[in-house]
This record gives sequence, structure tokens and C-alpha cells, in this order.
Amino acid sequence: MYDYEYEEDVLAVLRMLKLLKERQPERYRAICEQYEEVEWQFFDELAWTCVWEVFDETFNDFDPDYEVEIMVVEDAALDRFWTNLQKKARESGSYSLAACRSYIRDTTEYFLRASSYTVAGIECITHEKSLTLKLWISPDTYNPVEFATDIVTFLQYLQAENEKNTARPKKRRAKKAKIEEKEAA
Amino acid sequence: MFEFNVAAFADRLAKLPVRVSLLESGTYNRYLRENVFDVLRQSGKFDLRDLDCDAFTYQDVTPVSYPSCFIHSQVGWAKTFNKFVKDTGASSRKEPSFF
Repeated sequence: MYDYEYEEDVLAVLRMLKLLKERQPERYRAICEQYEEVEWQFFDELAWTCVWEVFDETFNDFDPDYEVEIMVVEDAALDRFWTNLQKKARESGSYSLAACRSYIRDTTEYFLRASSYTVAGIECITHEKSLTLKLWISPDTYNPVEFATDIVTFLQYLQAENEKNTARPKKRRAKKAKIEEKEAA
Repeated sequence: MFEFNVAAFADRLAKLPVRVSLLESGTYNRYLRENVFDVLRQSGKFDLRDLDCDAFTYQDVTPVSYPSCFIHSQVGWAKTFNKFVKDTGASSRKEPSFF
């Protein structure tokens, strides 16, 4: 589209920076000051830095059995998604919490393993009101640029789903209020 | 009995919110061309402090071939799902059936 050799690297970084500015403006400013002028060969490094900054909390862990780095992620969007799922399960009564856990795992896998094989394994640790994601980062097929692109799509999906779920109860409440008004009249 | 009301159906259909897809193919943006890619081509460097994130949308910074990755995943998942349900009762009937 732009006839530039490293176009995908640049686009991934810009995509990530846009999201970072929306979610973590202070960290975005810090990265801009830290990197200032980026040379074309450092775009993948910058993508990797942004990946670690875009979530609320990110920790580094290590799997000694496979000698693989683990990225442990905690985020408010994930927590909201999890609590909404639990609510739905309780209201409908047709599916269990185990199914909700599988749903989250499948969703994560669908988005984070779409364009790259950077994530070798996924584990979802669920608590009552929060969710922790453990991502095994493959040392052989690690691609920070594609991983950054996938993370942005994943977070956008979570955001859209959370907004949808908060909009629904509002509509329901408005309908109820209308019915009550009619009955009172 | 209830009757299908075409006008009411069309009216409701028109009121539906526009579906926003997360997986749209990338689009061209003039700002990116002039202020990012041309700068990189000329100097090999880009100053992040000059970046205006409001000048482009997410769709502008999506790689063109990106949605096709998800199509491969969907096809793969559907194939696996079909494999699991291949030997279930409905498919062993060898005739069309609903579930």
C-alpha cells in the first residue's frame, strides 16, 4: 500500500501506539520520550516494548520445564469480560462456569494465535471477579510485530463486547421504566 | 394467530445498528504516506514525538492481508468441529436432518 519494505512493522507499531495512547497515555508519553527517533531496524523492538506496556499489569515468569518465558497479564477489560460472562451464565442457567472458562480460552486463542505462533500456550486463571492470563512465549516462532497486531485486535474485541454488555441492561431498564409509566398512567 | 408484517419487519431492520467489524482490511491514509513512510524512506528514522495518533484510524494501520489470517483459523476450527461431529447420530443417517 505504501511501497515500503518494512511496512507491516511500521503499521503494527502505529496500531499499538494508538491503542496505548487511548489506554495508557502516561506510558505512551514515556515511550515517545524514551525512543524519540526510531530507526527502521528497531520497530520490532518497539512493538515488543508496547506489548508489555498496553495491559494494566504485566509480569514476567519462567517455565523451567520447557525453558520458556511466560507473560502474565492482568487487565480491567479482561476482568469485566469475565464478570459479564459469569453474569450471563447465572442468568441463563444453561451453561456452567467451566464453559465460560473454555469460552475465554478459545477467544484468547482465536485472537492471539491468528497471524503468528508467538503464543505457544495459554492458561486462564479465574478468580471471583478477576482473570489472569498466562501466555507462553515461544522462543522459536516469536514475532513481536504480528503479536502486537493481534493484541490490539484482541483488546478491541474485549472493549466492544464489554460496551455491548453494559448497553443491554440500560436498554432493559429503559423498557421497564416505560412499562411502569404506562401502568401508572 | 400472528401475521408476518413486512412493513414492521423492514422498519426494525432499518433501525438496526451498523455492524462494526474488527477484521477489516487496511485502507490508504495520506497522513501516513506523507508524514511517516516518506520520512522513513528519506532519513531511515522517525521521531515518535511528531506522531499524531488522531490523524489515522485503526483501519488505516491494519495490514492489507490481515483478515485472511482469521479466515484460515475459522476454516481450521470448522474442519476440526466437523471431524468431532462426523460420527454423531444425525450424520450417520445419510439424509438431510435438522440437528
